[in-house]
Amino acid sequence: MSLIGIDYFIIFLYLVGTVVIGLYYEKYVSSSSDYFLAGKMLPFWAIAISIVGTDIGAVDFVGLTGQAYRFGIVVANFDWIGSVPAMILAGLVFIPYYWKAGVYTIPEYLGRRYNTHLRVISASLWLIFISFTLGVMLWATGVLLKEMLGWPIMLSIILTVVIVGIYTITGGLLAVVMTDVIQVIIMIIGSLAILILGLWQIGGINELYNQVISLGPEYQHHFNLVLSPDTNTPYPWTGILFGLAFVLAPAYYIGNQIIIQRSLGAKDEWNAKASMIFGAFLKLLIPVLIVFPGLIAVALFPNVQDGDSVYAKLIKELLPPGLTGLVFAAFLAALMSTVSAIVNSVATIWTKDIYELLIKKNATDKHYLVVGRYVTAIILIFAIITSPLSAQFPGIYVYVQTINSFIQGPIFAVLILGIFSKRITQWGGLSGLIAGICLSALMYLYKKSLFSISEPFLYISWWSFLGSAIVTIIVSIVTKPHPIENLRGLVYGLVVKDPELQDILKRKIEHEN
Amino acid sequence: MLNFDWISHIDVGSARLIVLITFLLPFVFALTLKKSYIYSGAADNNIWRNLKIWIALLTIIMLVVYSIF
Repeated sequence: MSLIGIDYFIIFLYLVGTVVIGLYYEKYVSSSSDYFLAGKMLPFWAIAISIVGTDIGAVDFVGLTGQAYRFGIVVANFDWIGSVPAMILAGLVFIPYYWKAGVYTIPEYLGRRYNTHLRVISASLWLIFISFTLGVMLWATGVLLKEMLGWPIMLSIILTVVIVGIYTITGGLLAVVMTDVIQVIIMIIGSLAILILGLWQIGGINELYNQVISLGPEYQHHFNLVLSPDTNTPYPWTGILFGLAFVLAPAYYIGNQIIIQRSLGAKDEWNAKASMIFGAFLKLLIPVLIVFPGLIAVALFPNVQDGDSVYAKLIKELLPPGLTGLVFAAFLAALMSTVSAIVNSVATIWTKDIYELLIKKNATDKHYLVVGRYVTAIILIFAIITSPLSAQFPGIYVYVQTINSFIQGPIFAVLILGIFSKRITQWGGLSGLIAGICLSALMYLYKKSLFSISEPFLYISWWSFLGSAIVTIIVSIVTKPHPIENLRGLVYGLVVKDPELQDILKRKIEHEN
Repeated sequence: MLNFDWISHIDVGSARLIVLITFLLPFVFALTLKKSYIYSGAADNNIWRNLKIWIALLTIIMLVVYSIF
């Protein structure tokens, strides 16, 4: 596949536009709160768009379309039942709670609720996995661009890192969110182009359905969202419900720093709540834009062996010059929105949970702002250096994602129990976290003998969550409870039902604004 | 047990019903919340800011989609 002049012009326009918009917001950054939390001035719609942009990486365009090609619309569960209920609960209960508590990071909350050990462990886990994910993700996208366009891998990586670096280092979270808005709009236009032209070529939605179903018995469930447990896909309804809807989705929208950080930058409590719920509306669109093209590919190219190659095939066969450039701009936009969000979160966790806590306490606010900017630059350089490791360890992207999903369940168990129960102790939380992670690792090592489906990551998430919760509760029962005065503002009932504390928090918020 | 064998006898129709209930629960929870909590921090009490209406719309869309597919 090759681009022509108009395509390159559109990509160039997108890249320059992103840098200009990002740099514009530099003037709003004069403190660490401005840098890490956008000065608490973000409106709900920008946060919602940014959350969705962060959630969809460039690799997802190819990966999800490929999965839909192989397994059908069951993949849409990740954006529907795997997002909507969790986002509603996050918006109504958890986001306003974090927002009122005035924390910067989830590890910061865990540290206040349990102890410094738990804060440092959870922050370190995040830092290690997110930092490596960044390099691996950059490489995976570089490989895709090389396969599609013949661009050298390191050129794509360095181009992305330099542009993201310019606006993230200067404008902080505000620049990240505002560029995300532009990037998501480009992603939607690019995806719509494929969807509309694909449906046009097939002859409409009814024809799409008829053509896919007529391909044979293995395609009979391509339009089913709920599949029986004996399905030969990784997505039986039991895994979707217990692993995805009950653990991974809430863990992602309630306990993932990358997602939460945007809502913490909301300009008021209502905007914080509305950001998640408006985000859920946007999530409804994602399968239409990414999963449906996979079904279109089934109808147009029914005998492709490698599902991941169908996205490139759709671009090549369907799009005229100009629109091809727009889709590749969307591709870069998806990558940049995810990279910038990750970098900003890692910088926040490093500065607040490691540097300020363990290395230099009580420095000036300006000092932490400068540190945040340096850390952002260092992480990006680290990502460039570590990205070629992927070439030496094939399949590392899948491993990193899988292992990352294993820590979500235990962290979520400890988080949720700590929020809702004052009886949970620091040793309970620490034991539960370690036990849950060990349980995940053991189940993953023995997955072939323990599970009947090929990729049981949804089942492992559920059982590690449950195991972690049980250990946390048992150890808490046999250890000394925290004094109630130490838990004020940290346990849900002790925040909502404490008028004195509510008054203090209200004054604090008014002061910050 | 780890493979959820204990609920594997549930047919897809009943499983779909469980999924629909999963969508309904957050909506029912939202209905129980006080108006003052829903509007807390809002610049005004315009009806479009009522998050219960947003959630109702979301729930209806999801119920329709999961009933069809």
